[in-house]
Amino acid sequence: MKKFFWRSVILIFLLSGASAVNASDFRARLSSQLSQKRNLDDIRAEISFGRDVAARILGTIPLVRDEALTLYLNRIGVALAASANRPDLAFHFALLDSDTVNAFAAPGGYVFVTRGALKLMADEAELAAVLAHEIAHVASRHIVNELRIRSQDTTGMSLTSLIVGSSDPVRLALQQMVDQAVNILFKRGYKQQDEFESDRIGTMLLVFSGYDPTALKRYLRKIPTLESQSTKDLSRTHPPLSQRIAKIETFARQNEFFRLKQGTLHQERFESYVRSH
Amino acid sequence: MCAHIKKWKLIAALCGVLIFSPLAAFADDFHYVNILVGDRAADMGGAYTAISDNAAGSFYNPAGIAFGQGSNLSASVNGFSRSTKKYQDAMTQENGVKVDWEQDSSILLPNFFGTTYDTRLGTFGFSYAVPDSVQRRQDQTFNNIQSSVAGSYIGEYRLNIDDVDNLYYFGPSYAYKLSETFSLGSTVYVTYRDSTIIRNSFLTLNNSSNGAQTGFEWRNSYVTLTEWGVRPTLGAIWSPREKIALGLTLSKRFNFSTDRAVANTINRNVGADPNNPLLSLSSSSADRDFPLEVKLGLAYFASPALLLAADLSFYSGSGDFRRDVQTIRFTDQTLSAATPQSDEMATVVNFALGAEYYLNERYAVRGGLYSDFANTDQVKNDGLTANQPEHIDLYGATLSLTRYTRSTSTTLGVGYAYGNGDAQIVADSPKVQSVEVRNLQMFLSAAYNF
Repeated sequence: MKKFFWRSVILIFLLSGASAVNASDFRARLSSQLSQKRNLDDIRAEISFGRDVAARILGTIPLVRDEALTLYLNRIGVALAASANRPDLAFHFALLDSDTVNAFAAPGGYVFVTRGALKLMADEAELAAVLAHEIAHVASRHIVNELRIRSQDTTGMSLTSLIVGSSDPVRLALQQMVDQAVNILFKRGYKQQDEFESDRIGTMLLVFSGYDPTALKRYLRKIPTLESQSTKDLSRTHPPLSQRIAKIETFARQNEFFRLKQGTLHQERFESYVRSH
Repeated sequence: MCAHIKKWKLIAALCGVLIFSPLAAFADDFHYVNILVGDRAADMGGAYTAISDNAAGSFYNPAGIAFGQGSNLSASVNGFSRSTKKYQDAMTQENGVKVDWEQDSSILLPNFFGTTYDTRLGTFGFSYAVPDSVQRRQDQTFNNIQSSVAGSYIGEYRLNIDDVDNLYYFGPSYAYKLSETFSLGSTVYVTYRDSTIIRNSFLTLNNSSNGAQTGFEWRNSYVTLTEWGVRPTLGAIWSPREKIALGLTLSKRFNFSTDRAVANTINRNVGADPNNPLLSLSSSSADRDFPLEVKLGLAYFASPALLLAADLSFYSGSGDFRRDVQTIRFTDQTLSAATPQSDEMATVVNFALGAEYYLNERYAVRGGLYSDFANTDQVKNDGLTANQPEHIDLYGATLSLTRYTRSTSTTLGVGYAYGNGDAQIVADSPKVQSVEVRNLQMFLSAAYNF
């Protein structure tokens, strides 16, 4: 019980870190917290914006139309997302028809994992680890914060009005922001600290859902063994894997995950859903 | 002929009593903190070298814009700026009463606009600043003033002043964060100064016994100055430990084009002397030299609500005044007082202290204290030396209130500076006057983060 309490505190701290002034950034003033506060319009804007980004992702990589597999992904993902401190979002999970090893998260709760990534996974815990990492990007609003997506945009025009707006300049502005989000996902990548934060939060979500807390580390260790073509996007958009693994290990050690009872892997269930499709 | 010359010398001496020597008529070359530039920076008395993390950083320390919270756009307006300078006992009336002379300048001035844009290649910025500006329009009349001509007094002395002098900076900035604790930056301002000084004075000389007018002098002076130059600034900011930041800047202004013209017209008529207009014209394209500026700042980010900052600014003693432009002289002066030969600026070290406290997320109060010491030598009161530049040390304070929304801030503040010192406002006279200066500024500024 005590452990559960402390883990809850850690998770809340990690998740709330995205919406509060970063303690390490001592230059941030109290007023900057205003820009981090969200209202209902902001959440609507985030979801609408994320939907457009998701559409752009699906326009680039086709969806795998497998109802059972998609349902399976969603069951795992929604269970993980329940601990992500974003009850305002309805998360959706889908599989992309690509051999590259990657996963994407669009603001608003749209999470995608590629067929190539799924192929690399050994069990359900590893799948959960990848989904949890992406959920963390969404929950922490990494793209939303970087692009400053909010109900009031730079010209004082609401983003929601941008989205439903009718004028060409308004549509153009929206498209430009979507372009930037897609650029982050496919080319430029998140900020390094955002990736590390998602690894930490994702690992905590695994723990809270009863999965093996080492699943993300196990999954990441397999990536360098693959041919470079299928992992080149991942390498370009993410920090070096060795750094990520080292930080995950440090995080696990600091939180004494080794004291936990072995988390579940659900290998058989994974095999039955994934290998049979 | 000799009698005529003697008479003119007397008149010249007489006029010398009344034609004030407005060494500071131009935008104030004797001080370096004439207008506090920027929004948050001005609110903190200019103690901003180690902070500089918004668009105003382009002016104070370009390295700081790399630490901005996203891209920023900032504009500030001195809603109202008024400067009053009182020369005590400048004149003496016939009845022995001393009369002070007061100069004032009022202006409504947008003094800063800047924007920064954060990219992966660093932070880029562009800003426009007006660090010095004077608009002085006066129409004054003095009556029954003592004269140095025996048996005469000044029946009426009218003085019209119309001075407009602005110094503009505009140019790009760039800053790069070499690490999370260290950044370098540079701003290259193009500098432009545009000045027009118009002085028009008229006096009558009256007989002490019967009050009859015995002569007059009308004098007009028209001075224009245009200067183009550059002012590169190099800056660095380093955080040796959490919550502490140190800032350093080096800057120097270089003029590459100067166009200066002086036209003096004098028309006198005294007694039997014929109307004898004199016209003198001169021009120059010599570029002035300016001091090296070194600023060192320290900031303590005590908490997200409290920030304390201090600056020390060093200005080297090089450079020169524009004495030949600023001083209205007589071609036939008679006094034996000597004009000091050196026109060099003295070394100056100014300080600034600033504090910022957030009452809550939406409201912040800021205050500052600063010095604005004169870059001139102390005025000698030896009865021999004339035409010395004034020496007035100023101390100022600022106070402001800012209201924040999620992406904007609006600030209203006041600044007040006071100082006293010595001056010689009378051309070619060794007499020294005490002078008192009061500057009031009201800041109105807005900033936008995007």
